[in-house]
Amino acid sequence: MRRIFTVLALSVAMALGLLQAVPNDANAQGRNDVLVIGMATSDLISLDPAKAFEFAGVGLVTQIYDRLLDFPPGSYEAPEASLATSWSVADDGRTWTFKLRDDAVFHSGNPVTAADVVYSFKRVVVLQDQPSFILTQFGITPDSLKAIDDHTVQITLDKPYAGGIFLACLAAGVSSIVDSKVVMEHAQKTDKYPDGDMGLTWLATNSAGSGSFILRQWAKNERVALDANEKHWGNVPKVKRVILKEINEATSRRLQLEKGDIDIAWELFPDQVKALEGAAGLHIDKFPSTTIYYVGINTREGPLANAKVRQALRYAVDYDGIINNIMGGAAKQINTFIPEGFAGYSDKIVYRQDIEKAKALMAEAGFKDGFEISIDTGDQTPNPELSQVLQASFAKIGITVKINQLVSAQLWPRYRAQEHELIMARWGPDYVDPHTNAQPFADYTAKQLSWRNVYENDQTAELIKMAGAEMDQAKRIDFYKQANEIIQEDGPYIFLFQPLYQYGVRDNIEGFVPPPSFDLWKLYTISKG
Amino acid sequence: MAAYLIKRLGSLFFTIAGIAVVTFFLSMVIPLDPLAAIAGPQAPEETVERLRVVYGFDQPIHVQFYRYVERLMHGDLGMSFQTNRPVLEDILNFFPATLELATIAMVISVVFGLLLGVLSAVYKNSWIDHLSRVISLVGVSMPVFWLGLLLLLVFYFKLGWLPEPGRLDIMLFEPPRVTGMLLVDSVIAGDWEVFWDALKHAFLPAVVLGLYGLAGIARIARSSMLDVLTQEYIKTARVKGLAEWLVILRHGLRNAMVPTVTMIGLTYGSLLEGAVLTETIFSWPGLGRYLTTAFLTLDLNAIVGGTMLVALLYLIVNLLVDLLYAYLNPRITLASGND
Repeated sequence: MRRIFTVLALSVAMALGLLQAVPNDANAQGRNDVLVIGMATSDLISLDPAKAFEFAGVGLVTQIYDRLLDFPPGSYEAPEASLATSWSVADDGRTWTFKLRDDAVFHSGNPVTAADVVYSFKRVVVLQDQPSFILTQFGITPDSLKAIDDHTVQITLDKPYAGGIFLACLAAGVSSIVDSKVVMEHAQKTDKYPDGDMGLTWLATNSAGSGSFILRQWAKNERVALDANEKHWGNVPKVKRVILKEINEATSRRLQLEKGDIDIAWELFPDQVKALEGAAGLHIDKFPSTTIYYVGINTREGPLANAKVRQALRYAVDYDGIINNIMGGAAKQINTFIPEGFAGYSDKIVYRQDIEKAKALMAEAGFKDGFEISIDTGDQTPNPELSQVLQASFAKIGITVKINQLVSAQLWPRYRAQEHELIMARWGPDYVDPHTNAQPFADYTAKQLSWRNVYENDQTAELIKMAGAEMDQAKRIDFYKQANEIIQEDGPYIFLFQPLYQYGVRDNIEGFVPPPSFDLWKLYTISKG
Repeated sequence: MAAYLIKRLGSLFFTIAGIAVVTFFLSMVIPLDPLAAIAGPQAPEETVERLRVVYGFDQPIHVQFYRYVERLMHGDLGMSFQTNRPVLEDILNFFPATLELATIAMVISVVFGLLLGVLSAVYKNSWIDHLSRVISLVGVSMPVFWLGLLLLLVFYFKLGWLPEPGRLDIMLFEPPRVTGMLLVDSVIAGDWEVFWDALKHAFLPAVVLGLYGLAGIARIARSSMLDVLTQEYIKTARVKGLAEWLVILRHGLRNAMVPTVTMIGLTYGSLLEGAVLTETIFSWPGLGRYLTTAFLTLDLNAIVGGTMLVALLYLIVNLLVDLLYAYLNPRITLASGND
């Protein structure tokens, strides 16, 4: 009997010992040139700029490709020159001309020319995939794109649009410039695109860009490897390679960061941040994400149609409880539809919990005894928890809330069909300009959030339309602010907070600028000491 | 034998066809809109409607069904809405990782499960029997999520004996893809560094998965052994003067294997579906996460493709189990005519 145990123990020890025998750090040298980022990238679908619209996809596209304009690291108010060195708009307000730099080269060695710009935008417009509206909203068609000479591009819009919005959209991932010669070689006919897919299939997993990084490998659900483009015209990366490792489990991200197996842990949750307190050799960087969590209020009928009731709801919410208890402090209250980091953001907080005031408003509205209402909410954390806090808050002013917890394939169709009463929702900008939030939140004619909540305010809709055509940046931002004040007072939303992105960073990492969203990553600034 | 195989393969075809039909109508009955997942919560209304047409969801159900069957008849599993890649390509991409992990886990389950089962039957009510019971209890009752993180914490984080989650060290690249299983491909390529590294990476997740299977196998092996060991022929064998280990292995275990093999087959089948929690904790790019996402987002083509694969795997494993029965106990004949 004892012998059996000895044999068993020995064999286990041998198995472990055998595994141990190979040195773990066989590749220790060279690791200093490789930046390893651990993040949840399970949403990665395509690396094609015309298709990618998920966080990780757009984030990667912006490393591999250049755009005409780009946002500098850490500053998101207005885009700056990138592939385009200068631009102008004709007196008609519709015809834009861009001059391209002459020293930009694709990874293939082909020079970046006006023909590539025309082809890239044409792809987006013809393929009509998810992010295409970012360009087509300006009325761009294949006919409105023209290469004047090798380094001059002309784009004609269907009517004048605010220059600020248009330029911001040209800095979005979808506006990336692809190597037209390489892409055309890889076009193929598919079921969905019988006349040729303009490289959509091939570019999903390959790259043809001129950006700071070259796609080396994408092992699905495992990792993406990017090699530095040493020949980039301006932004040569400070490391030789970046590996984006898929680690969907936050505790696992934390452990690997602490152990030094990854250099940056993208997005840590409050639990992990607490666990890392006092850990040696690393620190936490924070920046508010551009996502806004809010409650949508369907104003079609009943008590919610009454503006005073909506006010009362806003005064009843326990904002501090939400931020401190549910979000573990990793959130920042917001009272506007423009997130921090964007032009026009205001940190003024109008609504704090004030039960007396809320009760008074309810009485004024004729609902002294309260009423019953339902809130639709997603099944993913923190949505159910947030809804519970709201339930408790509203109970204090006599409103009984029933929580409908739904999976997203049920939740969003209900919202789109205007079937909710209250809904726990969130919104993330599609491009880096306040317009991308102002339009859905305040212009019901855009058939987005304002429309879904049956809030048809012509005054705010008009302000947003005026902003959309305003060339003067300061005036334009002022229109958003005016619309925001009306929405704040009367609108169909309770703005709650912007979550904070918390990044765990090893201390030997320098030059990391914590971005508010994925399309604003700038990996080339990061070095490893 | 050949007639038997043909019969089994025929029933396989009908099973698959049945699954295809049932899956389709189930997905039509549940009150979920796949476009919600395809378009995402932010897309403007025009985009949603345009996509409805592109994906054919605007058509009446019988038209959708006809198109669906026509496609399947051509062996085309269609495109995944989620990944926008052909479902077959996705499955071929993710399944080898699962097959590799499940097989290692299975080896662990079978070797240690049988060992524990046999020992605890032979030394009934001794400490090894109790130990075996505790391990089995732990194996079936401990949440995989918790156990996985615990093992990571101890063997990776604290002791540093085993590498970080993932399939391969960050500095190593996969050898040329032949089977998609790193352990096999690295041997083909003669890349031993990758082989060892991949084996080390697979160890912990395989133990977590293996422990679960081990529990069942150990319990079944123990009870069937206890059963067998009281039989007359065991006594006869002992009386013949055979060495005790020969009695246990040749006369005892072989006969106790029939029910155990059933358990092994079932366990292997369920491991091959992929294990979403284990894959998530250990950053393992397997089938479990792919299928779970497909179900949650109502990615119809991926659901059908995945369900068919899983059905096929179960049928193959069952077939193997049946063949093994015949080998283990020649009294069980395959073509007995009464099945």
